[in-house]
Amino acid sequence: MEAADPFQYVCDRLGEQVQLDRLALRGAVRLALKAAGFEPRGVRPSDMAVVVTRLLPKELTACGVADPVPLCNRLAAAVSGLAAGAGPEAPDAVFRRLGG
Amino acid sequence: MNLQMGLVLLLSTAAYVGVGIAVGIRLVRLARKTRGFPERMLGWSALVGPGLVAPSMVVVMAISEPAAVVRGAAVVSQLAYATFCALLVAFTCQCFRPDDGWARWLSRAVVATALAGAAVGCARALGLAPIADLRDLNHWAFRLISFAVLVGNVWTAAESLSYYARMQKRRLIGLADPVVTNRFLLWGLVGLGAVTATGVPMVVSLMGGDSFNDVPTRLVGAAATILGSVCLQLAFLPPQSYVAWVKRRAAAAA
Repeated sequence: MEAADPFQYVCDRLGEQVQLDRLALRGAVRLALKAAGFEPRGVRPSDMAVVVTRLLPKELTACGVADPVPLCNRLAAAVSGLAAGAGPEAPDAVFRRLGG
Repeated sequence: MNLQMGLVLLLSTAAYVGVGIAVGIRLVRLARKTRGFPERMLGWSALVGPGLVAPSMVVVMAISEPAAVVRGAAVVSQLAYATFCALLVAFTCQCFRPDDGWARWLSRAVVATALAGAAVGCARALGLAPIADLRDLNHWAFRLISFAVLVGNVWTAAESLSYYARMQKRRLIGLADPVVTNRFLLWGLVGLGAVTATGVPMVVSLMGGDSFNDVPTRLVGAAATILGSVCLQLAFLPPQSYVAWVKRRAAAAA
């Protein structure tokens, strides 16, 4: 599996398939992540896949992208195949463990 | 101070010490298994704060002799209070901001402040101050450590409650466990309880009041301590019934 930053990966793939300027596109992905309680930095591929499926279509529609659902589904399948990065442990993983 | 007030203070101190030691032992044992830094820091902070600071301060406040015991307890309380502060900010920094340079600098500043206060406090305890003066919680050196602890707790509460808000959003799309989400809320409330218990007496004394003998101040501190102890217990050593209740409530809301 390829290890990559899921946020960057989604922005790059979207940029290849959607006629939107880079800033608007990254803004749409950022808004979808924010609505789901994530930050671009450190988001896990599995979480990114859910955000892309559930929340990104709404943001892309707001940017004028027609019928974004099939595109987002393909993107989610691709991003979920990324290997998780070796960054620091997320707070939720720490707090899960602290509960025993 | 009347008997009822004394009982309230005794109850709050007993709850703080008992829950802190129980949670501390559990987390230190967990850290031995997992080798995790956050559980080690949090476990030792729970053991050092309630297990050493509170009992040693009770000794300093309650007895006047033998002098060596009182001075020894005062040294232990100063060192333990600063250590508790260092462990708390180390946990918060490592858990919530492991990559942020400002968080590392904030941690260092808080720890340096606490250690400076503790060094002066230890010098006073070792002979620079008469025993009666060691009970003075308004001395600037003790206020310095309290200020560092206050900043550490404000930071801890802010990070935890902010992460709780994010976990709430994740829960709506099935990306967060309700029990883990609730743990962030509880840990944030532990921080808020500590902010109240530390901050209210500090503000009262800065305004010229006698925070140690002022009944409303002591009552607020005791209530905040009891609330913090309950939340600490529910966060890291919860009864199964509480965990089941959190899950049921989350399922009903879904």
